[in-house]
Amino acid sequence: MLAVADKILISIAAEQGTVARWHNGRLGSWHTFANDEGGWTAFEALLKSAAGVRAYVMVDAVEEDYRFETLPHARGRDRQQLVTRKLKQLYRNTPYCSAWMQGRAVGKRKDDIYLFAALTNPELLFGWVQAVARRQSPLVGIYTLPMVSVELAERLKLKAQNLLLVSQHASGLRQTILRDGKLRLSRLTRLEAASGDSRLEAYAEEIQNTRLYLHALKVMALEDHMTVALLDQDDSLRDLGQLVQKGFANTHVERLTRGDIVDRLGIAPEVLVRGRDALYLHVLGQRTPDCNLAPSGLLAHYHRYQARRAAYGASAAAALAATFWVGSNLWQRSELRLETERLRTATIVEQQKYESVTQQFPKAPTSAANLKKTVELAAHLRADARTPERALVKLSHALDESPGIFLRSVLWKSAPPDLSEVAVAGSASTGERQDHAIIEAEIRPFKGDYRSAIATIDSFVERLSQEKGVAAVKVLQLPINVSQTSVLSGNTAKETQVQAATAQFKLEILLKAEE
Amino acid sequence: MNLRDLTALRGALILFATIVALGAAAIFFTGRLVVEAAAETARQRTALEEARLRYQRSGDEKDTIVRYLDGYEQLQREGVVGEERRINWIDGLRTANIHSGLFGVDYQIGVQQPYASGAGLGGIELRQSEMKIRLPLLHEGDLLRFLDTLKRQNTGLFIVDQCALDRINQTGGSPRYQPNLVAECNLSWLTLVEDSGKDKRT
Repeated sequence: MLAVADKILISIAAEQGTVARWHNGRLGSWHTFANDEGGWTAFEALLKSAAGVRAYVMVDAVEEDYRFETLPHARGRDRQQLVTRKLKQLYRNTPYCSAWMQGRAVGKRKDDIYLFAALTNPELLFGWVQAVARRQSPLVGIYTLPMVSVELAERLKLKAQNLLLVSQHASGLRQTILRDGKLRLSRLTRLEAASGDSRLEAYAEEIQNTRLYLHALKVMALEDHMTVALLDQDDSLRDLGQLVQKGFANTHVERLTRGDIVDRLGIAPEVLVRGRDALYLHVLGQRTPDCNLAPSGLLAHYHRYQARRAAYGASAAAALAATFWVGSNLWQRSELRLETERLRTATIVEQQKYESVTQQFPKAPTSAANLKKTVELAAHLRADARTPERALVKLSHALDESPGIFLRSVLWKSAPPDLSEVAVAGSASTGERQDHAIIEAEIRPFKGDYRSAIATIDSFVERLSQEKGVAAVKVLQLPINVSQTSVLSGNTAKETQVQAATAQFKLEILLKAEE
Repeated sequence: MNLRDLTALRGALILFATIVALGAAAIFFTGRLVVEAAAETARQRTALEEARLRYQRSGDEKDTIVRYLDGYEQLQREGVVGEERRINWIDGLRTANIHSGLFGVDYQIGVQQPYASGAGLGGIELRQSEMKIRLPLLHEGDLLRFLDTLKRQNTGLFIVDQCALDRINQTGGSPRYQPNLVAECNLSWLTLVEDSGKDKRT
């Protein structure tokens, strides 16, 4: 069953390709394929059985190149353009190239220092890469074995300033020079089949040649101290150290036996038996080098793989967040319902206490509040009720002193009772309350003397106005309309005849609210 | 990102969208449940406070009942509280007419309706029935005596809205026991009823 952390680790050399399965943090199944059509077909079949598993390619070949270059310090897009231009300039014939930032130069300009690396023979990878592309396997990257060696040295705790890492491979003797833990140079030397002491002497000679080569390149002076780490996976390099030190006294040789490697890396001993590349594939499985030689076109499936993983991750995060949120809501709801139930129980207790107390109350047809309100309202209405008595008494007093006034009719109207004192907020106030009466009367006897009639009316109005409790008296109509805004007509002859005309008038009496 | 990338990611994106949609729906739904539960808790808390207050004030309530119960029952007997008693009103008119020595009273009682100025009395509804009466009089004092007698009957609660007095014989010198005036009055007979569903004793 595939796990998310599964990987396919591929080591490609000139003669063969080795494929290992990385599962549960360790190397699993192990396959070796020839670097030809048959090997590629078998390799593709293997990829088919591991669809969707990330693939990592490590190349161990002579056709590699490393160059230290300095470029003007730049950032972002400018840096990218500078590096790309330099890569095109250095490696026109291969797509497998990259630049590895090593730091800043000492000096005023503080230029950027890069290690430019490339596989100069792309044909070496052709069959393998084609198989990966056809199976749409997510190719994470292509690395050289020396790039993996940087991580290996760190894992083996080899911290010398000038370190030469020496190891045997199917393709020859690999010597990788690290300076301050950073890759500086690497050489793969094919050696003719040899055995025993002659092989070790050949190795020692190659190591001495490498020192001379470094001196020639001015990478390292001969008098500089160097540590040579011999990765003796099969414990066959026991005497190589002495041979190496014979040539250069200032060379410290540290031979790491299989036991040392197992102890320092925590790798299973049986893994080392599988092949010389197993050690490097183990390190590659644990950590990916920073420098990737794969062109971006080959990484498309990996980018999709990453995007898919991100989407699944986001889905999981969203599901987790939603679950947490929903759980929180349900918990809150549960707490609230418990609280509500507690309050309901307390309410019932209070109601029972109240019911118990009310058992001792006198039996009442309605609530105490309604009893009070009803009784007070009825009392108020009774107290506030009006009759025409006040108006008729005032009128009677005035008529007693006005014998020439003959009353024809009286219309008395009461203001509605003021309920504002007994009403709740926002209701029944009726404002100013004034009873009023409209009286119709006439002057008797009337012989056509309107001046005298109006004088009589004025005096009647005056008497009414002086009555206590009368707020105002308005004249609504006089026997004759002398207003300049209306037409006036009549016959003076007729007006002198008795009963020929009447002198009717109309008044409104406004009574004060309270006396 | 191109079309091929989107095609490759289709399943993952659909899964993501589905989870987001389902998660949002679940969050919204459970959020509503929380809001409803909080509202129910608030309602129950208010009910508890009211119940406690009512219990604390039960002593005052008892005092109120003792103080106002007799008055309330008297109003019930008079027909001021509860349903109208129109027969009592007519009896009252007849009695007042006899006691006042009048010539008879014409009356007309309208349909009962809410009293215009009686809104907002909190648990009590004030209703009115308009009564129009017409009564011949010897003089205006008879009207006042009639109204006073009617009031003393205790057959209900009324207020006088308006009265119109007119002379019947304006030539003067009318014979004895013949009406000189006619009065037309509008009375509002008032009844108090418990507002349905408000402040009833539980």
